[in-house]
Amino acid sequence: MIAPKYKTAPLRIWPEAKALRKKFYDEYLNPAGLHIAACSTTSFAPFAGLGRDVYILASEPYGATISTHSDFSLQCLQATDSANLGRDLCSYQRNYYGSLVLDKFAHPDGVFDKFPRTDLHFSFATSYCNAKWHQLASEHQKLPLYLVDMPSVFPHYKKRTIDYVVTQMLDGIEWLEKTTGRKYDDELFIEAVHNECESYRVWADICVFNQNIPAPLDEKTMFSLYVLNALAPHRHETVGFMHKLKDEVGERAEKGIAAVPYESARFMSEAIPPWPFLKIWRYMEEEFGAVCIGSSYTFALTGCWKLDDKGDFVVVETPREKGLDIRTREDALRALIEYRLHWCMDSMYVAGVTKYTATKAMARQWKVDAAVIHLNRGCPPQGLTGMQVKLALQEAHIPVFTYEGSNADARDFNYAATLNNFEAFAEQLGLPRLKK
Amino acid sequence: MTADKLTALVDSRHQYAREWKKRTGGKVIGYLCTYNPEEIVYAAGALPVRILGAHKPSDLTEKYVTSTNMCPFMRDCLSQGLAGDYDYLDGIVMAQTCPHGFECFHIWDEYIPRNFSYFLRVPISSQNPGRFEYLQGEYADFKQALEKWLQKEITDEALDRAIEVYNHNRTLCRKIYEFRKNDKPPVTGLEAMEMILSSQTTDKAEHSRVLEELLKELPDKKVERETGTRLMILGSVNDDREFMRIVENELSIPATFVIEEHCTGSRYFWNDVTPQKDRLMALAIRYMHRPPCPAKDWPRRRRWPFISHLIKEYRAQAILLMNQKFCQPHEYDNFFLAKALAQEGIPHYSLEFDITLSTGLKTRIEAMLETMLEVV
Repeated sequence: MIAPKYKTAPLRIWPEAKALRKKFYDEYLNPAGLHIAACSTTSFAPFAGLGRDVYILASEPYGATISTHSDFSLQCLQATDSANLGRDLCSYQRNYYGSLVLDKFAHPDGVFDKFPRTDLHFSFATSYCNAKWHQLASEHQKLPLYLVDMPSVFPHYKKRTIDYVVTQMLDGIEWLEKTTGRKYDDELFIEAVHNECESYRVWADICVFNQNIPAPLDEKTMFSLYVLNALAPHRHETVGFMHKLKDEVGERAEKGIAAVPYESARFMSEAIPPWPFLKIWRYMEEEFGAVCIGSSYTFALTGCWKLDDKGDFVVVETPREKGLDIRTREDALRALIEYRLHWCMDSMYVAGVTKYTATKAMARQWKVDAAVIHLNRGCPPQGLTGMQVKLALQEAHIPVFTYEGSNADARDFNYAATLNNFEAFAEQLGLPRLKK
Repeated sequence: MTADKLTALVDSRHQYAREWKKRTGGKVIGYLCTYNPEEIVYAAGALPVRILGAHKPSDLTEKYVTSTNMCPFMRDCLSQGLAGDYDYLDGIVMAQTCPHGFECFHIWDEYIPRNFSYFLRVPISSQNPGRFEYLQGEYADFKQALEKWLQKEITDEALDRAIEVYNHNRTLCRKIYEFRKNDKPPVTGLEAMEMILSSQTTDKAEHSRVLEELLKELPDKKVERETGTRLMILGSVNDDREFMRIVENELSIPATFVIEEHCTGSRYFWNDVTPQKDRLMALAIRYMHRPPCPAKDWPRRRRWPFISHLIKEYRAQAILLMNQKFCQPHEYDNFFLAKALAQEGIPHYSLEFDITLSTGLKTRIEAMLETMLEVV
């Protein structure tokens, strides 16, 4: 039996995280207010200008929520298959579409009859997937649709990229006013921009704590924490939560409180995890004492980063930290878009030197011993980059384990085979089992 | 027969490119997607050639990308690159459309390096406000990069000439396609595909001379084959000539592809560049207004009215909805199109393509013709 090296303790803020996530889902069930469906790669700050009673159903987190209700997820996927929607499409979207077709809603508390009212679809499209998803969903629900082309261009974005997105957003905000009949409040919008950027910034700071040995957080826990930024980063509740979380994680880092007391190895992962099978993370921890410190997905889905002159993966300053004077709608849009165009959200799905350079930098800075890569068939753009990430890490002499799966279609994952193969990998790394 | 010349051009496209280089001293730049503004490359004195697959199984790509989620066409293109079939390319360009193309481009750039490589950012939407200015700016950067590499200016006059050459080729293609509306089309689907594939891999001015010859032959051409069912095929990039040949020549029930809607067909040449003082803006407008790839066809659907128009004009009796396996943009759209076609009462059938053809395709299409159209 191996002895633990570090002290550990549960996260004190955990119940608050769960309660806040539930609150955001409960709000969407509220028949009052304005209900908007949007991909979580969308900036939600602009919706705040429509009032304080705007509730957002973030598409991908909702798809992930469905997949954690295994029976319901299977029904949704089968409904989508029966409707002849392509099997190779985003597995989140196939769950989501099935939920619409079945007219049922997956909530953290269970599955409810009747999909809640949606008033319109408004989404960023960092890839055609986001766009076609909402195009199909809005057609099914017979709802108005606005889509913003958000180029994934980091680090090559120029002023014209920002101009392009701002032009669309200005048009989009007018469209929102016309479609909802609401007068847009620029002050609420500016407040939300600062909130959103701050939520993202603080999450990124929290991720940096995991460079610490021992890592104060494990990635499975981080999945339940970043999601608040995916659901409502523009809300003051989320900003407040992220600051509290940062304080607690900082304290853990300072006191050497580990997420996994053995920390026999530090792994990084890659890609959206197979949500129905997060127990793999616990398996790595409980069988081999390994901690997973995070991934480009966990860090950058709701955090903004860049590569500095030294080639380090570092957090980007918010508009407020840069001292930007935001007074008008256009000021706010420019600041927001410039911030979001950093290595964030869908930039990580896009192939290219930047992604692989950043991944290698992460492995170095977060002191990673090995990588566990999900070759994710459920997210086509992401799945395509898996082998390139593997090659990049191997070039940096990081051992890599790959497994095929899907982020939200449990049928596309062989749990037993994956564990078998992982055990062989762990043996090769010389990781002893914790228990005989 | 001139159609045979077009077949030969496709068959010998690598040899053609090598000989073109020797003959002209120019550079050859491969491209993966037809959102590439070929006119700019042509104006630079280079030859843009579309990279195509060879339809032979290969495991060369497995190390770089899993075959369990990459578009077979892009995987096939990448295989050809890794096998050295495109060693004559001086450069490669990818106009942003789908992640499969981007991944292929990235791997090519990393592992089959050329002297010039460029990822051209193209708006993901072909409809949103600000797209023309954005794309015009990206074209300006692309033009500058080409000028720097080639050490020569791409003048307005060169752009004008390139636009004229390309518009002329498109006009000829459209004129030839008019003949496909005939009761007995003198151009089969396979021949039309070879016409477009050869256009994408040949100097456009030279290609136009072949098309002019073909146009002279078509009015008097005796059509001995039975037209049979008038088919339309639409969907992902399709360079599978064997498939077209099987459907048009080997089915027990005669059929002819009278029209198609994909980027080795009508989408490639349907609209012209309308010249204007700002040449790059003229190109941006043309490429944003062209019949869209589904990856760019949002928020409104512009493809469906175009497809609907083609069905009526070419009197298509049945539609084959194809997509390359893992081609998500077309999987999304084929779902919508199947419903739209069903609402119109138009027989249709969905097919997935891979690098090589599955043995059951012929039977499936015959069954479709028998059951949907009651031709037997």
